[in-house]
Amino acid sequence: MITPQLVVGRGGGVPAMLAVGVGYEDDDVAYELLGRSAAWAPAGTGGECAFHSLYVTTRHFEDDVSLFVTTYIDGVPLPEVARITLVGVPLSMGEQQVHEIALSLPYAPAGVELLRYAPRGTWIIVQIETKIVDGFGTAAKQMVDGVECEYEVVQETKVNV
Amino acid sequence: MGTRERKAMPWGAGLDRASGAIVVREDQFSDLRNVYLTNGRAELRKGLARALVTADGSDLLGVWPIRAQGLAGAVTYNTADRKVKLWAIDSTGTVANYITTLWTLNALATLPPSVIAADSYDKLVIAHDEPILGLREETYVFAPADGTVEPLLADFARTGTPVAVRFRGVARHLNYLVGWGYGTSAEEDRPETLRISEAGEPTNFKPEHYFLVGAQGDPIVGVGYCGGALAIMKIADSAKLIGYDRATFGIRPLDPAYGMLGSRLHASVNDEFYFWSLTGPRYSTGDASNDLGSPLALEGVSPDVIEGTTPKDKGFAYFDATNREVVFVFGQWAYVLHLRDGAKKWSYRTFGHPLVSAGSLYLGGSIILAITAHPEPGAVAFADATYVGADTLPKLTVPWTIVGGAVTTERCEVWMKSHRTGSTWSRRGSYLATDLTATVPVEDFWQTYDIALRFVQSGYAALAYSDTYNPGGWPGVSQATHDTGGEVVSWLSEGFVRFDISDIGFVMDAKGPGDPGGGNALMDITFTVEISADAGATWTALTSGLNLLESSAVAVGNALALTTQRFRIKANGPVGSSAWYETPDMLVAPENTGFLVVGPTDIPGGPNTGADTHALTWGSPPDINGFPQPDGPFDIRARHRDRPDSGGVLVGAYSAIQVVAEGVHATTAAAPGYDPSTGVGRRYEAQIRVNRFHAPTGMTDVSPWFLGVIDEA
Repeated sequence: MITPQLVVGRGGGVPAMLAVGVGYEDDDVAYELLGRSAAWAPAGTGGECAFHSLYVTTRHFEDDVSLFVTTYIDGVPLPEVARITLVGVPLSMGEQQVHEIALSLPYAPAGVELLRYAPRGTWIIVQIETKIVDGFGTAAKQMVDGVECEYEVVQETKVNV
Repeated sequence: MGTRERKAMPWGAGLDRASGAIVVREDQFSDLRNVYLTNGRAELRKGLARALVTADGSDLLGVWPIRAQGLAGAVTYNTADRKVKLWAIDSTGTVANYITTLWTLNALATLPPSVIAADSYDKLVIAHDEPILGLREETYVFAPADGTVEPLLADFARTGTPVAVRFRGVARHLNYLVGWGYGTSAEEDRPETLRISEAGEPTNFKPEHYFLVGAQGDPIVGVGYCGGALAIMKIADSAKLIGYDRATFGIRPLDPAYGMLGSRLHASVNDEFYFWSLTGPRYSTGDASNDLGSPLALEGVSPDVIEGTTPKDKGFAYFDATNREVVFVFGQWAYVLHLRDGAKKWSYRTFGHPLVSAGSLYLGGSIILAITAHPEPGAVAFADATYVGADTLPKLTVPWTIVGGAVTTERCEVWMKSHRTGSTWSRRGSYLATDLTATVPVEDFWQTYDIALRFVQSGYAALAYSDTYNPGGWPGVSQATHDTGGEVVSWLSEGFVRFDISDIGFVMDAKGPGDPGGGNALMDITFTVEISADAGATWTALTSGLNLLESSAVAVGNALALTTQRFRIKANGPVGSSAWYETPDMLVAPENTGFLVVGPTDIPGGPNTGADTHALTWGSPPDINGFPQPDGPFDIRARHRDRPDSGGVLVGAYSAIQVVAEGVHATTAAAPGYDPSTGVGRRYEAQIRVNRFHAPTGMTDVSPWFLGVIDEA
C-alpha cells in the first residue's frame, strides 16, 4: 500500500527529515498553542460593560494539559491568569468540558465575602495558551471550541455602526 | 445596570489583523498559533517527528518522491565544505543512502542554496536554483533504476555535441518536463527561457521546443500547476503555458501585476495556485490572481520577532492534504492558510526548528533496509584454471565474514584492482552477502591484486563505502591484498613459417597468461623461450623478456631450418613465474605445410623392416618468398620415427634420394627400417624438394624440404 507522508527538511545544522503530523513535539522541542481574540466591545465602541465570567469549552484527550487563560480589559491584562488543568482521558473518547472562569473579584474584609465586583471596560480580549509548567506540557491532543463571555452592559454605545 | 448577557466567541475563525476595531468580528483573532482550524473549533496542531538524519550535511534542502521507483531523492547542503549531496531515501522514510556529491558550490553563490527537482518517468532531474548563471551548477539526472547520476545533456545550440545544461529549475507538467532559465551553450544566460522536453522523455529536449516568457532578461522564478495550465511566475508578473501537447502549447499572460517572490513559495491545490507575491499571499485559478493576505496585515506590526529570521524570498510553501492547509514557511515561522471548510482562514505557526524544505514520501513502495553490517575478507586463495576455452580465466577465491550487524537481502560486491600499470578499480562481481565466498575471475598472472568488499542494498551502499572511484578508500577492514599465480602455460605453435629470406620462426599462440578472454591484451607478463638441439639436455635462450601477445612471432633463425629442435617457454609476472612448458622435438620446417600428401602404408601394422611403401602425391610447387618455382624435377626421401606427440624420441635414417622427373606429381617411397621405442606410435615422414630451385641470392639451387607425414601406428 502506498501512503503519502508529508515530510519537511530541517535546517540549522541538522539535516533531518521530519514527518509532519506525528506527535506533539517538533523533533523534541515543544511548541505552544496560542489564541488571542480580536478586541471586542460587547456594548459597542463607546459603551461600557462589567465582565463577570468566561466559559471556556474544551475537548481533550489522553495526556494532561494545562491551559492558561488571560483576560485583557481595555488592553490591560487582569492580574489573575486562570489555569485550566485537563486530565487525560482515553484517546478514543475525549472529554468535552466547560470551564467557568470568574472575572469578578470578591470583597471580603476579615475573610467574609461581602460583595463581588467585576472589571469594567469597553474592550475585552481573551487569550488562551498552553505552557510547559509543572510537567504539564503541550504534548496532547486538545481542542478549544471557544469562549463564552458573560457581561453586563453598563452603558450602551452612542456609536451607530 | 442592564441584564447579564452571554455571547459566544467560537474558535473556528482565523486571524484578522486588518479589520477595524469596530467591525472586526468577536470570533476572529489578533494572534493565533499552532492550530488546525475547522468550523467553530481550533485544535492544537500535531508535531514533526524525526524520521531520519543524513550522515552528512547541515540542511536538508529537499525531498522529492520518485514514484516509479517507490523511492525518494533528498539533497543536503553542508555549510562547512559547500558540498551539495544526493541521497536516496527508501519508502519507509527511515533510511538515507548516499549517492553522490552533486556540486561543490562557489563561495559567491547563494548560500545555503536552493534546489528544485522533479521526478518524471523514474528519473529525478535536479536543478541548482541559483539566479546568477555563472554561479549556477549543472543540472543532474538521477536514475535509480540505472544507478546513475549524470548531467543533463542537450544540444540547444545545434553544434552536434550535447553539452551539460544549467537549468535554474525544473518541473513536471503533463507528460513533459519543463526547465527554465537556460538558453543555449552559445548564449546561456537567457533566464526568461522555458524549455519543454519530449513527451514521455524527461531528459530529451529538442532545441526548437521552447518559449520566451515576457521580457528578455527578466527571470522566470518558478512554475506551478494553475487551473489547467502551467503558471510561469516572474518576480512582478506572470504568464501561463496553455495547451496539452506541442501542437497546442502557447504562452498567455496570467497576471501582469503580480508575480512570485521566491522560487519555492507556491503550492497547487486542485486548480488553485497559491503563491507568495511581493505584497503577500495570493492565489489564481488560471486568471488574474486574488489577494489572500489582507487579514494578515503584513504591512503592519509584525506579530512576533521570529517572523523576520528568514528572508521572505527564501521561504517555501507546501500543501498539507491531510489538514487541508497551505503552509508558507519562513524558517521557524509560517503562515497557514486553512482550506478545510471552503473558507480561507489564516493562522500562524511556529516550529521548534528552522525548516528549509518540504516534500512527500510514498510509503510502502520498494524497500531499502539499513545496511548495518560490513564484510571483512578472509584468506584469499588463487585458483588456477585450465585454459580450455578462450574465456576461461583463473580466479581468486575471496571469502568474507559478516561483521557489525545482520544482513537480509544485501549483496556483497567484490572490487579489485591489479597492480599492473594502468589498471583501475572495477567491480568483479556481486554475490549474496550470505554466500560468504565468491570465486572471481582475474586476468593478471603472478601479479598483486587489491581487493575491496562492500555490502549494497538495492544498489546503495553505506556512506563509507559509497566512493566507487576509489574503493581503496573504503574502510580498511573490508580490504585485502593477494598475489595471483598461474602455473599453467600452454603453447601451441601454428607451425614454422618464413618471416623473410633470412629468417624463419614460428607464431606462438600462448594460452593463459597474456590471453585474457582470447583478446590481445598486453599484461605485465613476459615470456622466456629457450631452445634445445639435444632433446632438452642443454638449453639456449631464444628470447627473454618477450612481451608476448597472443600471436607473437618468435624467430629461430634460418640456420635452424630443417633441424630438429625442442622448445620450452615460461611466463614471468611481477611477482612470480610459471613452470616451464616444454615441447616435443620439432622439425623446424617452415615451408612444408600441405604440399606433400602421404598415403597410408601398404602393409598396415607391418614390421619395422622398411618393407612398406607409401603413395606420395603433390602438386605444382608453391611460390617461395614470391619466387615461382619450376615444376620439377623433384628430390624425395623418407624415414620412420617415433611419434613425437606420444613421447617418442627415436628417429630412423632417411632413405636415399629418389629423383622424380619434371611434371610428375606422384610416386611411391619406402623408408628404412628402424627399432622404435616401446609403447609409442610410429610415424612415416617423407620430404620433397625442388632441385632446380629458383632461389634468391644467398640460397642454394634446391628448395627447402617440404614435409609430409602419416602415422602408421
